[in-house]
Amino acid sequence: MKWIRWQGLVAFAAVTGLIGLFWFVYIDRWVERYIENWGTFAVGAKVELDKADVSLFPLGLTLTRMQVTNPGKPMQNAVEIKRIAFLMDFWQLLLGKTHIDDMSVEGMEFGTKRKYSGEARRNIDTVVPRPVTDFVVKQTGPLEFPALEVPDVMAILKNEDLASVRLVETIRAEVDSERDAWEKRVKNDLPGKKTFNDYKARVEKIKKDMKAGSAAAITAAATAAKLPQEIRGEIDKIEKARKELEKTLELVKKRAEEARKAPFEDIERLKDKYNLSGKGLTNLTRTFMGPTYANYLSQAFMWHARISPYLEPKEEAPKEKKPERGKGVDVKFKERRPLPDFLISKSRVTLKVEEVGEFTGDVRNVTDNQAILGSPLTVRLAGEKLETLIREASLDMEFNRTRPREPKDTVALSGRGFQFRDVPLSKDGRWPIDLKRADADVSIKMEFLKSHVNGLISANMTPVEIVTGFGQMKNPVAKAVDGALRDIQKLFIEAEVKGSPEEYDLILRSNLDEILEKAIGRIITELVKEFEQRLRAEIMKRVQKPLEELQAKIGIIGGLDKDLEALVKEGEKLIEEAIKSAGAGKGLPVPGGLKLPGLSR
Amino acid sequence: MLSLLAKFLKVLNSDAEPGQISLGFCFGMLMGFSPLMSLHNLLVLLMVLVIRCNLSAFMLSFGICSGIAYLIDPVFHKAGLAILTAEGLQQTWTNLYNQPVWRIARFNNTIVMGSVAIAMAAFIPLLLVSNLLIRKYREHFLEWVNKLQIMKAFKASSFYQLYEKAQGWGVVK
Repeated sequence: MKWIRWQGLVAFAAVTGLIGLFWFVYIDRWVERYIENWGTFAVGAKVELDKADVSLFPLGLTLTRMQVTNPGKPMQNAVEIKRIAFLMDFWQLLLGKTHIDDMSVEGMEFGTKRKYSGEARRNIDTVVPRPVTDFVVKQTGPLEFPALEVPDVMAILKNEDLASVRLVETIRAEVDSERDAWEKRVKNDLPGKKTFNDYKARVEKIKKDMKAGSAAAITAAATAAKLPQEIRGEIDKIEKARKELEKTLELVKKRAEEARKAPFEDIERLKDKYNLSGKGLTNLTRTFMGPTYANYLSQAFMWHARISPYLEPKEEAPKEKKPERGKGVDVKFKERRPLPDFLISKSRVTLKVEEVGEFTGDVRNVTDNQAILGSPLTVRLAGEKLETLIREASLDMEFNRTRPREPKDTVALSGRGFQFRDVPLSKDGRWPIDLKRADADVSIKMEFLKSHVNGLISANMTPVEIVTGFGQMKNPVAKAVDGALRDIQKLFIEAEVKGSPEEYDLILRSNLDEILEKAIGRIITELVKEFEQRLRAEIMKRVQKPLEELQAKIGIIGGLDKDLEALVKEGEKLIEEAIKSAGAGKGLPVPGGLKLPGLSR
Repeated sequence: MLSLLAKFLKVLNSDAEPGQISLGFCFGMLMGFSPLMSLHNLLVLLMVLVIRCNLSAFMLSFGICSGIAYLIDPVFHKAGLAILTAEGLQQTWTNLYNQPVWRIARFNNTIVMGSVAIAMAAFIPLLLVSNLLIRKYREHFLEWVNKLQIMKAFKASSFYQLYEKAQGWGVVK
């Protein structure tokens, strides 16, 4: 019996030929379906190809018109590419690796319209994008805008408790009490005018008696000797009281000074409270533009979060994981020349942006495992002599995952002659501001680290045309702001970003602050002055009378002191007169004509 | 169409020796156990067509063993994993892993390795056992089966008429 069936060779050839033919005929369609399904799964919205064309010699693939739907806008494509063509490394493909040395991407456009919705069908499993949390700007301080209207002073005073009024009343009561006490003391405890008048009368009598030269003169002389001491005693009492009175007077004057200053403290407090101090003028750029910038940053962070999973190396399935039935597990062994499973070494890109022009560049090292490759993914695009909206622009991006635990992505975008048209700078309903027209040089530098973002976005604009929605307001400050914004010829804005994508600091700097501060600073100063004058007038109205009464009472106390001083002087004068009067006599008559010497002080 | 198919079957089923039938069974097992789109199955197919084995037996065995394979997949996986992770064979596997042909053959897949290993191990025993069983069947049971009503009804069918012309199955020469 023969064991070889030569006809079998024919059958085998026929079978393999049929398989080959089938593969040859349907491979294009199979590749097309595979790319569409995988792309839809990865993006979460339809990815469609017009045609896929596989070539065997050399091994390559040409894709015609790829549309990648924008998941958020199913009637729009996130990106549409006219043609992608590349050759593949045959030997690497045999080893199960997809390596493309040179890829050409032509006619890339963003945001093109679709004829029908590109929403993914529900029965297609789609990757659930990593949840994008709301990106919240961490506030470094309250966003306040200064009050641009002079508050109603009467309404304020109605609701406010004025410490100055209370203080004046309190001090007035204190002074009243002191005045009463002193008046009583001066009247009851101290020698008064009457006392000194008495002394004066006695001095007169002494003088008279001494002139008479009789026995009365002797009595007068004796009285004259004692009188100065008496008067001195009275004077001492008054002097002592005067010292105390002076202290009281000093204290009372001090309190009066406090009462006088109190209204000004109230004025300052109320000025600060009702925000007319001009402090809110700092960082107006942040007030107006913060939300707009935060919105753009949120979108950038969202796209970065969307892209990031595809840059991470695939996690090895745990060995304990049960394999899918019929699939098994591919055990990996050491490769002599380790290379990633997927690699596009270089891809030449032509990108068309609507209303801007064409950009050319390259994308290098697109791979699923940068750690093995050792080189980061880089994107470089540049456009010169562009049609509209911008003169020239360049984009440099690097996504570095060569060390998976220390990811580092950088984006550097610069553009010259960027034409802003009708861009809202402030979307606040009360204070809308639009950049109607500006030509700008823009620079964006962002760095994404593991859980940290650093960024610097700057724009130099000239010429500039800004319009606001509050120019017709009667408010003088609003008018001043409107005028200042309209007059701007050069605008510089710089935004610094630091923090995590979920919570970051946004520091905005601009010459807008200086311009607005100058413009409305004067207005604010005048308004503050007006407010202060009104406030002062009203507060002073309330404290004027009490203060005057206070001064009057202090005056009375002061008057007491003067009275006492006058008494002291009178007393001193009386002492002198008493002494003089004792020495002014003719001498005592002595029988025999002997004169006794006169008494002297 | 049926005539053409019958002639084709005649050519293919002219090999009805017990050994040829057994070989058909064994090749069917080899192909049935392992994943269909494996490179080694091309080789099996070539051998099935070139070597004079019974194709009916091959197709029957392929069908049955594909069903069995679905049930004992976990066994193939464990066996394949054990072989691929055996200490003494790491160098060998590493060398094969770095060669494109073997990568295409997916030898490093646990199901492929396990199923091929088990099928190869069972090849000779199955060949001998099935050979013996076929001989015994023909010796002791064939006549009795031919007398059964169901067999008579089958033989009366149009397909069998054509097949009879092709002198196929059950005829001992």
